[in-house]
Amino acid sequence: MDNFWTFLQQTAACSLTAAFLLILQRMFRDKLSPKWRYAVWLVLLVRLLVPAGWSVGSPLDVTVWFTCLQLLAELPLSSAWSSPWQLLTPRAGVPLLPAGGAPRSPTDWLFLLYLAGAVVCAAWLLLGWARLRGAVRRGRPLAEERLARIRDHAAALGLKAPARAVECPVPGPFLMGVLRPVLVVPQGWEFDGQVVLHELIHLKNRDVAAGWLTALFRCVHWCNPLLWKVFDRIDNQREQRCDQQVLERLRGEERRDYGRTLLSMAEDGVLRVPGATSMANGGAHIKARIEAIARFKTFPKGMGLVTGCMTVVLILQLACPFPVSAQAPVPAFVTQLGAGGQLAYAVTHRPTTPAGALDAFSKGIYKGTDDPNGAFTCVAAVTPWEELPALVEKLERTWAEFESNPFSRIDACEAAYRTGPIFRGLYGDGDGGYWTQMYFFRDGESRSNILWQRRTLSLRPQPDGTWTAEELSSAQGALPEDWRENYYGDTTLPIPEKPIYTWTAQADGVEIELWPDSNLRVQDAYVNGSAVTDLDLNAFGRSVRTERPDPDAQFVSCTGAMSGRLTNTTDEVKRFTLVARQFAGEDGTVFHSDDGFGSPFFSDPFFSHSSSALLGGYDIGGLELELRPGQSIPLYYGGQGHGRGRAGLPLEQCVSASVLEGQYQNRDTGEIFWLDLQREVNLQ
Amino acid sequence: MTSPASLGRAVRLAAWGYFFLYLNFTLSVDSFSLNLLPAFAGWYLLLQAVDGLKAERPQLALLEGFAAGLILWSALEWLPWEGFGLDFPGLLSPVDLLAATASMYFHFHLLTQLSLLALERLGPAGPAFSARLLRARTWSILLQTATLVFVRLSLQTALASGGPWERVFSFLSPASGVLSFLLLLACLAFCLFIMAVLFRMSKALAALTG
Repeated sequence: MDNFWTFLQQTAACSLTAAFLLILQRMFRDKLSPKWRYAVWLVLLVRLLVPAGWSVGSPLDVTVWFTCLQLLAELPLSSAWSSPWQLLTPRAGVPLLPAGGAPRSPTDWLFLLYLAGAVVCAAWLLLGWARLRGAVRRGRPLAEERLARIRDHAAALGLKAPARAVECPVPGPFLMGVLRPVLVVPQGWEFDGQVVLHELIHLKNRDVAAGWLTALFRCVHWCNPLLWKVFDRIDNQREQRCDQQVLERLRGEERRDYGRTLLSMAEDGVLRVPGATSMANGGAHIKARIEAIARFKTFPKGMGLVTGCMTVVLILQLACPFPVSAQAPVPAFVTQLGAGGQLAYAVTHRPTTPAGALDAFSKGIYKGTDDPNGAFTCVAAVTPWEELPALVEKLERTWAEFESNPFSRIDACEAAYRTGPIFRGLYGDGDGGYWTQMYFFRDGESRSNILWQRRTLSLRPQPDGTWTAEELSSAQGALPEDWRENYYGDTTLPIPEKPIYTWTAQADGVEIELWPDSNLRVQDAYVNGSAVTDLDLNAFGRSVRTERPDPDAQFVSCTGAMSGRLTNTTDEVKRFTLVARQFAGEDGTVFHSDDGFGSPFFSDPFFSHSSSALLGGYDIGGLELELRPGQSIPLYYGGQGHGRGRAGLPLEQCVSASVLEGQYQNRDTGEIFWLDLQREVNLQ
Repeated sequence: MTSPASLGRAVRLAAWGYFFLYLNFTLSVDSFSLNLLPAFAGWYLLLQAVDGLKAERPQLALLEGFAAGLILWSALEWLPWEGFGLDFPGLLSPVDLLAATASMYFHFHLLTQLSLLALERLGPAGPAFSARLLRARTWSILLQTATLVFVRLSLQTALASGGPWERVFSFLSPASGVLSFLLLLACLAFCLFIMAVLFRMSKALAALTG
C-alpha cells in the first residue's frame, strides 16, 4: 500500500472479509468447535497479507469501487502519490514508502497521516511490550522445586515446558516470548495444574507468535475500528480455543474446577500487551468462556476434515492469492457522476475483442456532437492509459468551445457524419493487431450527393487482454454521381479508395490490381438521413442503436468480394483466364508445383497453407476476360455474405487475406503465368 | 424411542433427497431452461428426513435452520433468470459461499448422525453401515470441495487470459474438460453409492419392525 487509495482498498477488503467471517461464525455458533471458530480467521490472515487488487473475481472484490473513487477524487487533484490514470494494484498488504516526492494533495497528506498513525501505534504497542519485558527481566526466577513441578506436570501431559519461569508483580500468569518462552506467574502464586495446562497449551499452539501477528495488523489498520474489534475477538477466541483444548484433557469435576478457576480471575486486571498470552481476559469475556465451558461437548471425529475443507474453500474464494489483471466493471449509474464517473466506467469496460474496440470507437464518433460525455466514455474505453490525460483535456476544450460558442455545436451537428459505421476489411498488422477502415456517411446537397468520411484505425492488443483503437489517418469525399452503377448491394462500398491491402502484378502485358474487399458490421449501421438510405447499408436489417459499447462484441456480418482493375498495356487483344485465391496467416507456406499445369487450373495438392475459410474477399475461380489494346476495366467479382446475428462470426474468418496467389492463362497460347503479386499496405 | 419403521421412512426420504441433489434433468426451450429434478426438492426431502430422525438423534435439530435456508437459496437459483434476461448473483456471490459452507456441514453432520444411528439400532449389521456412511461422509466433503475449487480455478483461468499470469493458468484450460468430466463421474458414483447405502439401511430398519 503506497498511497491513500490502495490503503483504503486494502482495509475495506479486509473489513468485508472480516464481516463475512463474523456472519459465518454466527451461523455455525453452536455447530462447530471453538477450535474451528478460531481457525477460520486464517482466511482473514491471508486476506490481510494478500494485496486486495489481486483478488479480482472474488465475491467480495472491491477493486472496481475504489478504482471509481480514485478516478473521481484524483481528477481535480495533482497528487504526488496517486493518479487517476493508474489501475489500483496494491503491491503489498502492508504500508510501503510512497514514491513520487513530497506530498502535494489532500489524499497525499491523508496517507502521510495514516503512516504516522501506524508508526505511533506500533511505538505504543512496542512500549507496552518493552515495559512488560523489563518487569519480567527484573522478576525473580522461580524456585527450582516449583519449576521442576511445572516440568513434571508438562511431561505428564505430554507437553513441552517453557525454558524459564519467573515471579513478577503481575495480576495473573501468562506466557511471554517467541524464541525463548518464559512462564510468568504472580508473586506468591500457588501451583495450579489447570492454569499451567492452559499456558502449556498456549505454548504448544505458538499463540505468542499469533498475538504478535494480530498486533502487527492492528498497527497496519489502526484507523479501522471494525478490524480492531475483530482482532479483539480473535484474541478472545484464541483463549476459548485454549479452554476447549484444556477441557478435552480434563474429566468430570475437573472441568467444573476449571470453570471456577476462570471465574476467580474475572476481577483480575487484563494484560493487553503484544507478545504475551493471558488466561484472564476481562470479566465479560470470562463470562462468555464459562458459558462455553458449560456447553462443552466433544465433537465427532472427522470434524477436522470438514472444517479444513471449508477453510480452504473460503481462502480460495475470498482471499484467493492468484494475481490477475482483469478489471471488474463499474455499474452504469456511475456515468452520472461527471467526467470521473464516465472515465471510471470506460476504463472498467474496456473491450475484450477487436469488434468491441470498433464498436466503442465508432459510437464515440457517432455521439461526438450531441453527447460529448457519452462519446468520451466510448473513446476512453479504447484509449491506452497513457493517453487518457490528453483525452480528458480534449473533452474539456470541446465543452469550453461549445459553451463559448453555442452555434458551433449546431454547426457541428449539421456537419456530423451520422450514418454508419461500416468497417472495410480487418487486416493483420503482423504484430498481433489489426488495421481497418471505418466509414461513415451523410447526406450532401442533394439526394444523389452522398458524402463519406473514412478513418483508418489500428487495433492493438494490450497486456491485460483488452484492445485499444487509434486513428492513423482520415479522409473524406463524395460518392461519384454514378455510384449506383458500380454498387452491388451490400458487397462493396462504392468508394474510389483502395482498401488497406492491395496486390499488383503484371503478366503477359496485363497489369492486374486485385483488392480482396470485405465489409464488416458489429451491429446494423445507424442510418440518419434520407439520401444515405439509398445505400441500403443494412440490407435486410434495421437500424439498431445501443447507448453503451459492447466490450465483448463480435462481428455480426461479413460480406466479401474481389475488386480491382485490369489494364492491357500491349497493342494486341488479350484473352485470358484469371484465378486468384486468398489465404490468411502470415506464416503460411505455399508450394508451387514445377510439373506444369493441367486442367483444372490449380492441381491438388498445390497449396499447403493455413485455412482458407475466409468470409471476406472472394476467390476468383476462372474468370475469362478479353481486353482490347490499352483497355482498362474495373473488376467487381463475386460477392458473399455471412451473418450470425448476436452469436457473432469467428474472428479468424473475418480477417482479410494476408496472402494472395494467382495465375493467368493466355487462352490463345495456353501459356500459364504465375502472378508475382506484390502487396501494398495503404494506411494513409 | 422412534419406531424402526418411522426411522426407515426418514432414511428413505434422505436417499431420495440425495437423488434430487446430485442428478439434474434439464429441459431447454430457446433461452429458457428448467431443471426437472430441482435441488430445492432434494433439500426439502432432507429436511423431512431430519424431522423424522431428530427424536432419535436430537443433534440433527441443528440442521433444520440450514435446511430451510438451503431450500430457499436453491429455489431462487432454480428460477430461469437467464431466460428473462436477468443476472442471478450466481455461483460466486457471498450468499452462495455461505450456502456452500452450510451445505458441506449439513452433509457432514447428517451422515455422521446416520452412522451413529446405524451403530445404535441395526445390531450386528450396524458397524458395516456405519463404516459406509462415514466413507460417504468423507467423499461428500471432498467432492464438494473439489467442485468449488475447480470452479474458482476455472474463473481464475478466464480472468488471467491475455494477462501476465495466463501461462500459469494455461495448464487448466486443456485439462478443464477432462477434470469436469471426472468430477461429474465422481459425483454420479457418489450419488449412486449413498442412495444404495441409504435404501439398504432403510430396508434393514424396516426389517427390524417385522
